[in-house]
Amino acid sequence: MSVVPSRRRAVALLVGLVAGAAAPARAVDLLDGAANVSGFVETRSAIWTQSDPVKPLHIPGISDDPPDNRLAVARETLQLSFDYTPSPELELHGVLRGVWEPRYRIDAYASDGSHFGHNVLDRNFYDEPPSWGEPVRELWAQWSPSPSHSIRVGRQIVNWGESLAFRVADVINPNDSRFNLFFLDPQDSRIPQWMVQGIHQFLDLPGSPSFEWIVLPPLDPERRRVNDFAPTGARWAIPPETRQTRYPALQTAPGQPALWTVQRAVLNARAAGAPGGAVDFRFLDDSKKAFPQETSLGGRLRFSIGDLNLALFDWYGYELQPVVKDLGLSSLTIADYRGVLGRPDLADVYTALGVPLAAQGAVRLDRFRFLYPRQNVLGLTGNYYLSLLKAVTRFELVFRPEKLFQVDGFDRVTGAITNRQGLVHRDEVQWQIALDFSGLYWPALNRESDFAFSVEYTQAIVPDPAPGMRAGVFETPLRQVTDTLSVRGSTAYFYNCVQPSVTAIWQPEQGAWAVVPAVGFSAPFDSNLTAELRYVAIGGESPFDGLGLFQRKDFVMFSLRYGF
Amino acid sequence: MRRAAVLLGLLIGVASGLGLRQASAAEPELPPPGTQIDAGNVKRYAPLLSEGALRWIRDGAWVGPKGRVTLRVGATRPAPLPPRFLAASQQYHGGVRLREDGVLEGWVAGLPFPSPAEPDLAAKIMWNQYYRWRGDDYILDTYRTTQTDRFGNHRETRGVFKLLTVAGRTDRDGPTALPSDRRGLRTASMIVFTYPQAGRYQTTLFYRYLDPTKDDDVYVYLPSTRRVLRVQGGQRCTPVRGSDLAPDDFFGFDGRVFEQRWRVLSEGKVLALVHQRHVPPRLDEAVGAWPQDEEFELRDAWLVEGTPKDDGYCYGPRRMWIDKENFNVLWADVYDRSGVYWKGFLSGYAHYEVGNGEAAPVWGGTAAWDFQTEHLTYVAPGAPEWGLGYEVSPGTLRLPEFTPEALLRIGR
Repeated sequence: MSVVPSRRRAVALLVGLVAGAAAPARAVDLLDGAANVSGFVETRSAIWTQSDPVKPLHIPGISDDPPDNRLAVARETLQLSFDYTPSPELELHGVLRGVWEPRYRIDAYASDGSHFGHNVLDRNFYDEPPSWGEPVRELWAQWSPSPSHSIRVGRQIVNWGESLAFRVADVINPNDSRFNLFFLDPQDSRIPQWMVQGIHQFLDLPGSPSFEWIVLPPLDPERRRVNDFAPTGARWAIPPETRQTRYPALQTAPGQPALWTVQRAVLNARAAGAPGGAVDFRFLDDSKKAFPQETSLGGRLRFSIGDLNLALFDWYGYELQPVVKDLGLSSLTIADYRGVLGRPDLADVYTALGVPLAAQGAVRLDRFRFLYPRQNVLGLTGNYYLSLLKAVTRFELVFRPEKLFQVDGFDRVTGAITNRQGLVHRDEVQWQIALDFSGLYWPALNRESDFAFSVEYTQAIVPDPAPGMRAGVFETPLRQVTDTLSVRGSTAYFYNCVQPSVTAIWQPEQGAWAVVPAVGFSAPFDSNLTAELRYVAIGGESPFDGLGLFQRKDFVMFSLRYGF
Repeated sequence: MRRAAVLLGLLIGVASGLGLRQASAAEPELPPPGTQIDAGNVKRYAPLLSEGALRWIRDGAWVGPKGRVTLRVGATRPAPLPPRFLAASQQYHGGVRLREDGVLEGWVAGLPFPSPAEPDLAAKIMWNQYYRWRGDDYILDTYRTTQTDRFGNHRETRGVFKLLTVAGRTDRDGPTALPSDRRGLRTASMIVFTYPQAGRYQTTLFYRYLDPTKDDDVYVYLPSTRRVLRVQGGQRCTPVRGSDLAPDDFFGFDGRVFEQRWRVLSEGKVLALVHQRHVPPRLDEAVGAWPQDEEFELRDAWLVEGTPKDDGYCYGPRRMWIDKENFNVLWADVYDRSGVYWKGFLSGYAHYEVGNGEAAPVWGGTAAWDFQTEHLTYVAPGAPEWGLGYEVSPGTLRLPEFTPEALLRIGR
């Protein structure tokens, strides 16, 4: 793998940053302030400070030792935002973003010569766009015929949640897992969607209510959490396969080669039901929806009762995390295999199962379909100011009736098929309560700024779980109750030039934790020049469960940004 | 012998006390228009200045001789409040009542005490300052904050500030309170940050309630999460990150009147900036501490001292020069809990015709100097960025523009 071009880009970016810092930093105002162009350039680098050995997989031709190159991310971003307000009633907004990244050594498994593919990834495989087909990140027009009413049409992001760290009621935009450390940057992590949003206020009525509605037609092909068309084992594949989470320890059965987590998850019934047989896989993308019958719809009513702000919503859309449906076996020739699958990289998987493709002449094809289930989501969110504590409490409650879960389709002891489709419906409840303290002034520790603390407690409940039930394509069986506690504290020194913070997350049932100390820097001579150094330490008892997915993947990250 | 010594000591004490009182009561020398006050003559006019101003003129504060500033004296001109506001003051002041705990009840519009007098003169002055005229609505495009550290580094933030008076409206005919308000608001205001880029479109909404004992409500739209976060608004004495101002410091004082014990230290003349020529102010490039090419004029003012009732409050005494004609804070000096001088504030005002055709005192900027950390912040109107200008009482703002939903509409 070569990262030289990326280094060149990084150097160019750094030169740009330095030159930019010396130049007058100002967004470009046009048309007497009616139009404006702003943006930023950013370089972000991270290295793993721990790395998984690949011994459990033991792939011929690939060293069992951890790769020397521990580069986790070298991500360079240029973003341009455009605003135009031709009249007080009409606003236009657009965001263009380009991201360049090298091919990473750690992704060798997904490239030529690896166990999971003969195809050589394109040079721009990790870039966005064009790989992601996202020429315009955001583009919308907003019409406000009066201050009480507005309609926004275009590609945009809408968040109905109250949470800072997790997504409970934030159900509309899919998560973007392309960024290797996506969970560190909420700005980067949502995929904008083409939709129409209306907000209407009725301040004359008791409780000063407002009503917000959303119509989201199935126009955006990328309305899902991950790119399942990425080579298996590569980044952007379904969640357990993204680079920071993949873990090659599972085996389908004694004596059989190990498989990657996701394939284990997908193949559970096949591998057990047809041991030694000719087994192949097909992943069918079910994310593209028909218009207009598969349009997503939602409404949110917000109102106040004294100091209590409440919101009730109903979102009838599609789950953002897929489940896998088994479509059964069929027979195909090799030609069919090549033509239909279009996935030569999977040939290695097939080979690894001990069934030489060339010798077969025909193979049995087991087809699996990724489903993004239609789901009704009922939500209640709110916040309340606690004047005695000078603090704010936030809460969210989300109910998904008859949610579609994935289950083991076979009995793990006998191997008997128990659920042909591997799917089951169950109710699910998620709720969160949070407490925010800010503006705390302790001059003995810091005379120039305040301290802020936030505590969030999240619980997910499936009152009546089915045996072997899993969320989406995750391998670990779902618990009846899952708790997560997160705490964050921050302050600033030297008049906001140095901003230390620490975030801690704990999942008690899984014995998993993460601690993220960080220091942000803002140049004392130019607040547009910022940097951040962050360390992420992660531990967990189970490598397949919650934060444990990230086990032994500590890393340190540095980013440098110049805004204009 | 011992008795004689005690008597002598008493006599000396009384005599020195009288002498001090006489000295403090002595009329200060008043500079004629055209006088340049600088390090050479500032001692003569020190009683007409705040401690902070004195340090900048005499010493250049922490910067030293290079930081010294001069103050040019101009002719005193009237800076009255708008006639409609004064008429409302006369109409409604009869209904107000100052409770024993210092809380004011019954306010509707205008100044609660148009002619403040004892008893509780200081508290009445401060309630007048709390309910001072600011315009029924207010658009400031752009407000600009410049911060300068001891090494001469400058940083800047900018934003668009809007304020809507919900109760106590006097600039135009009609009810004094907006009928659409169901929250019991006194004012609603917001800041849309435009610079630096990392905070662009971060928007903060402030609700101040008609009940003066109720904490402000604050909502923040965060572009990173695309949602509105409710945050506490009760901590009034924490520095706003990156600046030398706490929320209570805005406009010289923006705190809760009943949480302080007030007393009038003196009344008389003070040199102040109430007819600011340049809006935005012209700041010197090197330090940015002082408005350039301006004339300060002699104003009649009260020197009021507030001492916090709460032992946990960040500051000790705060001394403010309050303009007798319009109740704006002209200067403020703040001491820490141990009585050591900490911060100085200068607020400038311009006087011109506002949106309803009446002339009024309009805020022109506030300098905040931290003499302990040697850092300063100058908050002032800046060059317009959104084409909105600096509009006072344009009569165009509406309550639906000041809601969490409105933050979503602005946000991106």
